[in-house]
Parts: sequence; structure tokens; C-alpha cells
Amino acid sequence: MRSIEGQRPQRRTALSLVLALLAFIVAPPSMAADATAVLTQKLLDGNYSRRGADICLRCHDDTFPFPTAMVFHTVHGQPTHPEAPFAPPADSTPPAGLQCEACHGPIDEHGKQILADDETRQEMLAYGSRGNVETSLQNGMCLNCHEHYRRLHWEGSAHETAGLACADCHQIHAFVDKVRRIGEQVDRCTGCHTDVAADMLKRLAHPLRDSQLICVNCHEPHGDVGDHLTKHATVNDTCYTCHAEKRGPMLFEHPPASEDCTICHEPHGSNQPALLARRPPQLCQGCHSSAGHRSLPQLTDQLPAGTSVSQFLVGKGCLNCHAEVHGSNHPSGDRLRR
Amino acid sequence: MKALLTFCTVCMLAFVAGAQAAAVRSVEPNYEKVKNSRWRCRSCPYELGQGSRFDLSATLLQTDDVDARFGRDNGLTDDDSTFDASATYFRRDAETGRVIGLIGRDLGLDSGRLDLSLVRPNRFRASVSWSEIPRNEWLNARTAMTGTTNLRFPTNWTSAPNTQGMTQLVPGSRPTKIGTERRKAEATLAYRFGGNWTVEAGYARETKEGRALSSGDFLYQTTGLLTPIDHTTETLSAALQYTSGRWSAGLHMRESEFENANRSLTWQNPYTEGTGPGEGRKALAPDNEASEWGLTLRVSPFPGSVLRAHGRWGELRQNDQFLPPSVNPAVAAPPMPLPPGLDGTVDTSAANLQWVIPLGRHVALRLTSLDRERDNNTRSLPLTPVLGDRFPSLALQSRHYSYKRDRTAAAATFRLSSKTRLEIGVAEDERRRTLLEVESNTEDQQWAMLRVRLPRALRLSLRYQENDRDASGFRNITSNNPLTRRYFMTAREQTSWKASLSAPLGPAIHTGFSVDRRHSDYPASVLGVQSETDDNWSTDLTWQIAKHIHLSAHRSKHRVRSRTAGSSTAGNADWQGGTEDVVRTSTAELSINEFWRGASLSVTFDHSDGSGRYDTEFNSLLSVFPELVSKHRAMDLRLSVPFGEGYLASLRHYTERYESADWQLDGVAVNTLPGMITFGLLSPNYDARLVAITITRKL
Repeated sequence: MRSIEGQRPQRRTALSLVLALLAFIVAPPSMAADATAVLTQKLLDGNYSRRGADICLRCHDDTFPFPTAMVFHTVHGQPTHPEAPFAPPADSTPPAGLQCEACHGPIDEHGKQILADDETRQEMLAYGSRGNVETSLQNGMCLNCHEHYRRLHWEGSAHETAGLACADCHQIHAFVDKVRRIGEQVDRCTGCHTDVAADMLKRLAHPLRDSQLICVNCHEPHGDVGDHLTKHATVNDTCYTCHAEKRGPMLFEHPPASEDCTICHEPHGSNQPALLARRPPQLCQGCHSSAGHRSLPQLTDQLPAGTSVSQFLVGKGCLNCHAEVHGSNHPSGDRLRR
Repeated sequence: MKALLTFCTVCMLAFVAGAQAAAVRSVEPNYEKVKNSRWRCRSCPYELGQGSRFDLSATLLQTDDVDARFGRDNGLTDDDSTFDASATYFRRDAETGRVIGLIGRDLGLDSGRLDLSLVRPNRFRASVSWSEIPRNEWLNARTAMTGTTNLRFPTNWTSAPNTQGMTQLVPGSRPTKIGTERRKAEATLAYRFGGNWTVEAGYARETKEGRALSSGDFLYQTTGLLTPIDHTTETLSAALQYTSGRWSAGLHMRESEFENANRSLTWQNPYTEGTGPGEGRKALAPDNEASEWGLTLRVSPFPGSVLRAHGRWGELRQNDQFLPPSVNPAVAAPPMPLPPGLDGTVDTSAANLQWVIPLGRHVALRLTSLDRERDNNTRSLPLTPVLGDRFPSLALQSRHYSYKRDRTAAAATFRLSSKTRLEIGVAEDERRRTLLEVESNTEDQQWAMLRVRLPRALRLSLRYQENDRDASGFRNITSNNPLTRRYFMTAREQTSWKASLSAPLGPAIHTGFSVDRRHSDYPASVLGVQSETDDNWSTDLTWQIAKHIHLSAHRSKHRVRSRTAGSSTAGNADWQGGTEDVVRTSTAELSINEFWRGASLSVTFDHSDGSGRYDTEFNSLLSVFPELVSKHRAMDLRLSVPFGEGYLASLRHYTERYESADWQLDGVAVNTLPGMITFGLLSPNYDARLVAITITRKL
């Protein structure tokens, strides 16, 4: 569709092609022989151990650099859970009951007691920062059991397409999975979302710093139907969860307020009052003519130090009179003043 | 169309080029050889009996030189000693797997929280929670008015044409606290049955009480008002879900009801009597209700492919009783009586359809269709508004806006290697609105993103996006200057890019760098926003200095600029305005664990410097506003030392310094503006300190 309002400049569509070519150039050589292929094949071969975790714990005890015993204080290590890795084999169906191998794959030759001089120990599936396979394979192992409830929308979600692994956020071998703890979740998320970490310290911000509000109050990190991974279908529906007084319908509405709160507000933090993107009157003048409202300091030096201070400029600017910017239900509220 | 063509071309090129890849979609592990019937795991340290943990903390806090901003979210707004308590209880029954958890935080403060949960894995989860969220805005707002919903000046009030003549305004004004307190109680229950079915139910009740700043005018004379907040929102939700190997389905509903205990706010006219009404009245947020039903379906037609559909239908209702057009008895009643209430209804709907399709071993395609609609069915009412409670204006019809959005997107991910992915995508985003100057916008979006995971945890990500938004023909149907284009619905050309690199500098040092930019031009806006630019960069570092010593640091700069053109005469552009907000943020944390008898120490520094520059140029005369300033400095020192048997002593010393300057507030006393009584607010400046001593008993 051609622009009716103005001429569109020439598109830089070639950029996509350039990026594609760049990808070919910077892509490292074939990784077909890497751990992903080997471990995928191990999963397909399915050579599981004969004794389960008893073999693993011979080496992976408390002296191992990455201790494993804490998993027995989590739901994964509970023998009473019929779908957990440590469920009694008689009461469960794989991958439940496969103990360590439920997540780390079949032991195959990893458990060899004696290695030749030039032989390295066969790898097992590792996760998160120690991850040795593609994230899709790591996540696939988790989703073998967890693909229900809130993970229905994982594939194709922002975090999935960004190549995030479940273990990038979740800690499995820990008594407390920090990302699920109210006091620690914000720290965990802002480890990657550093812009939000900075927003939290701005002049105005939602109360994320003290965890009165946490990320999952508004977002569904495993993917959802909303824009920006919001818990509800639209940004406004998410905002109305706490700000229900603004959802209306009203006798007089302010169209952008009904359409999308982010037209005027920055949800995580702002340099301006009320989390505004800019402050009135400048924000309002982005849409509304300033004629009749003397809000230019050059006219009569209308700042506090001047001789004729303008009520259209200081205080709350336009909102000094048009206070009901989210809509009014008053029969005389046509200009959002009542 | 052109974007789609590009998308297809690039897809084909990459496909034909045969990007070498070890494509990994979901792998179906082979369990046929499993022989685990004799696995006993005698060396597994299973929990036995009933394992439990109980931590109880008592804290004594001392705060000095606090400010509303310091205690904005934690409730610490008094220079005082406060007692606080926290508790954590956790018990797991090893026989049944049942878990009971109780977490209480800051129970002595206005920001307390209590969560109680009972879980039996794979069966049910029940939880009850209660929380308080304070929002302290100002401690020193000055007002001469008293009352809650009927604001009155003192009996010796002197009316005058402007604030300078109101002799009782300054002596009669006293400081008052502005803020709100939210309290939320929630209960949820989830029960799994039949192996595949889950039913969930939840109830939440949230109250919000306090006072907010507002204002009310009598045409060109206005008054700052304290608006009473007494809101209650109740929400009931339920969901039913079915999950099996290949497909899942879910049904959910939500009912929400909002109640405002106050319908209106009346205030005495402080300006000269005789020429205006004695008082004014405005409507407060009306009671309203919302309903929602939703259906989700997820099918995996073949391995690696996922088809997902979601539909949500809702309704917003509002029928609060109307106030009369004016509280002024001298204004004649409108010629046409109003109905008792709006009887407004808005139908809302949202639909998502997404199909993730693997194309061979190298390419995955993601097709998405999104539909959002807000259909306002409220009838249009004939009205004769009363201006400033003084005189009726021209008759008009109320306007009830509807809005619809359709977005269709296609994205392809190429696995160039097991470590490299390229994503390209195109989308068309169409928005339609009723009764507005621009009926529809269509935005073409296209993007490309490259992600590389190189050996040694090196990660590189590049993203570029172009958006071109067209607008349908402008309709001059409002009293706004017809040369003005509202920035949310005018033509826009937007480009954005982002690059981020994450790399280890050694076995114990990791660093990341990210930079992004978004620029928008509004070519059709003779008046209104001309351009916006948003720049951001950040860098972070984590360093494991020794086994128990850890350092992390972060620094970022965020800059937002905009240019706006305006007219002071309802004609052509005769002024240009610019804004530039810059916020620089630095944080650093050093933590030393188990350095002496299990003691731990952490020190955190937060710096955030904000500045805002505003200028306007009128008749070639540039005027620069005073700079908006905010400087936040905080240092948080925490020391914990275990002692005795199961005891932990903790010391926290937190200091926060905040300096700010705001030309919209500073120097504007209650009587500075001739036509407005303000609250005499001042930008916050404080040097607050908090000392807390906590004793924790671990049982």
C-alpha cells in the first residue's frame, strides 16, 4: 500500500541479503561432529545403564566440582513423584524413573571405568552455562516432561527464538530455583534485560527494585499469546489487572489511552513523572495543537523565574486542567476536565 | 508485497545454498532398551521422613532523613525505629511427597507479603497469599483544603480573581501526605486428574486506598485537588486444560469487578465569587465489570511442527449513574434529559494463530496471525456539556471509539550450523479505528537477526528491523489544527538495530556488551512529532575473583530524543521544540562468602544520573529550559555472621542520596501561578540512611 500521507524513501531491502551472506561468512565450519550430533545419536541408540544413578554417584559425589546431591532436595529427586526422574521404575514410564539419565541421556560409554591414554570420556548432555549441545536439544529434554501448563506457547516464543535454554534461567540442582523466588526473580531476569535493570533506577519506576512487583506479574516468560510476552492478550489488558479503574468504557474516552497505554507511558521506568515517555506539555503537543495555550517560554518568559508564569507549562502542564486524560464519565467531561 | 518477495527470495537462496547444519528439532529418545526394573539407587541421599526447615527473622530498622521517594515502595517514610519480621517454613513429607511452604516477608512494614502453599506434586497445588504495596508520592504537598469528597477552604477564606489576592492561601496551607496503599489477597487451586486433565481456579481481591493528585478548573482558573482513592477490584478465574502427547487444549474464563467507593469530587471555588460558580464537581472513575473467555488449542501434526490457536472473547461493561452536567444551580438543565447511566459495553476479542513448521533439516518457518479488536457498542448520547460549571457549550454527540488490529507475520530460521542461526521475517500490521482523523494504518515490517554461539561461550547477536507505516487519507473532523498529525496514527518510517556480544575474558571473567538504536521519522507531520531517536548501550562484567569472592558490574546509557513542530496561531508551524532525556546507570556488587566462620559480606553500589533538556525555538529565538536533573546514589552493605547453634546475625547499612531539580515544580509555590493553586511541591532532595540488625533463627 502506497503512502497517501507522504513519500516513502527507498527501502533498504538488500540488508536482509547482506546479513544472510554475513552469516555464511562468519559461520564456523560444520559442527556435525560436535557434541550435539554425538549426543543426539546417543539418545537415539538408547544404551542406558544397568544400575542407574548408583553408577553416576560413584564419581559425582560431594567432591566433584559440580555437586549433585542437592537434586535430592528438589522435586526432581523425589521418589514419591510418579513423573519425576527418581520415581520408582515399577511405577513410572520413561523418561520418569530414569534417574540421572532421564535428563543427561543414556550413559552408554561415559561410565567406562578405564580409559586408554589418548581416550577422552564420552560426553553426557550438559545444560546451561556448561551446555555442550544446542539449546533446542537441551530444551527438548526438559519439554519431554514439562510440555504442559504454561509451556504450551514455548515454541516460536521470543525466548525460544532467541536461543535461550531452560537452564539459562532455572537451576535444577539447587534447593531453591532462584528465578521462581519472589525476592530474586527480578535480579535473574535483569541479568539479560539490562535495560530494564537501568529503568528500575530511573526517576519513576514500577516497584521492581524491592520486588513488590516481579516480572511474572505482567509477563509470561515461557511465551504467551500477548505482545511482549505479556500475560494477557494486549498490553492494556495486562495494565488493567492492577489499574482496573482505567478500563472503562467511559462517556468520553481518550483514544490512545483505550488503544495502547505505551503510546504515552514507559512501563518499566522513565525519567518523567507517571512513567511518561515525555512530559506535558511536550507529550501532549505531539498530537494536540498548542494554539490558545501559551506554553512557549519565549512569549513572556513563562518559567517560574519569569514575570508571567504559565499554568499551561509548569505544574502538571496540560493536566492542570485536562486532568482526566484516561477518560471521563461526566456529562461535561468532553474536554477531559470533569 | 515487496517485503514478502524479499522474504521468499532470501528463504530460497538460503535453502538452495544448503546451509550446512546439524539440525536438531525435538529428538524422541529411544527408551526401548531401558531395563531399569532393578534400579534401587542405594547411594542416593533421598530425603526420609518429614524434612523441614524453619527460618525466623526479627529485624530492628532505624531510618533517618527519609523522603517519600525513598519510602515510595517500601513504606519507610518516617524518621523512626521500626520492627520488622520475616519467616520461612518449608516441610516435605518424604512418604507422600506433600510440601507445605510458608513465606512471610517484611511483615512489620507497609510492604509486607505472606504466601502459604500446599503442594502434592502431580496432584494439586493450593496457595493463599496476601501482600501490601505502598505508593508514597509526596510527604510535603501543601493544601489549604479540607475534606475527602467535598473539599472546602477555611471559613476565613478570601476569594480573589487570582492567587495573589488570596491572603489565606499561604498561611492556610499545611503539609499533607499523598500516596496509596494496595492490599491484595489471592487464593489459587490447581488439581490434576486422570493423568491429562488439570483444573485451576483463582480468586483475587485488591483494594487501593489513599489520595492522589488531581486538579479541577473553572475555565482558565484551576485548583490542585486531592482525589480520594478507595478502589476495590475482585477477580475470579478458572481454567481447564487437557494435555496429551500430540495435542493440548485449554479453556479459561475470568470475571473482574471494579468498585469505586466515591462517585464524585466536589470542591469549593476559591476564585472571586459572583462571577463564577460557588463550587465544581467532577466524576471519579466509574464502577465497571469485565468478562473474558478463552480457548487455546495446540497440536503437533508431525514431529517438530506445532500449530497453536488461541481465541479470547471478552466484554467490558459500565453503567455508573451519571452526575448532572453541572453542580451549579444557575446553569439551566440540558434540553434533553440524560439516561441514568452510560450502559456502555465494549466487546473485545483477541485471536492468535501460529504455525511452526520445520522445512527439512535446516529451516524452520514460523507463521503468525494475530487479531485484536475493541468494539465499542456504547450508544452515542446527545449532550450539552457545561464549561467549567459556568455555562453550557454547544450540543454534541458522545463518541465511542473502536479499534482493530491485524498482524500477519512470517519468519524463517536458518540453522547455518549447530551454532549459528539466521532469522529473517516480514510482517504486515494493520490498525483500523473509527471516528478518528486517520481511519487506518498499515505497517510493513521486515527484520533480520543473526545469532552465533561460538566456542568458549562466545555469543554474538545482530538484529536489524525496518518498519514503514502508511496512513490512510486525513479527515479533518476535529477542532485540532488540521496540519497536525497525531504521532500514534500518522505515517512513520522506523529503523532499529541491535548488536550484542557476550564473551568470556578468562576462565572466571565474563563480559557482555550491547548497543541498540531506534529512529522514527514522521514525514507527513507538518505539526506534531517530527522525529524520535532512542539510543541505548550497556556493558556488564562478572568476575569470580576467588572461590568465594565475586564481582559484578553494569554500566549503561539511555538517550531519548524527539523533535516536535507546533503552531501558536492555529496556522503553519512557527515553533520547534526538542527534548533529550539521558539516563546513565552504573551498578557494582562485590560479594565475599564464607570468609570467616561462614560469614558473608556484600557491598552494592547504584548510581543513576538522569538529565532532561528541553528547548523551543520561536521566531528564531531559542529558549532552553532549565535542565531536569536526578542523581541517585545508593550503597548497600550487608554482613551476615552465623553464631551459636542455628543463629545468624545480619547487619545492613543502606544509604541513599538523591538530588533532583525540576523546572515544572521548583519555584512554583501554592500562589506562584495566578490562575492555579498548586501543591507547592519541590523536587526530592535527601540523604537517607537505613540501619537494620537482624537475628535469624534456623530450626
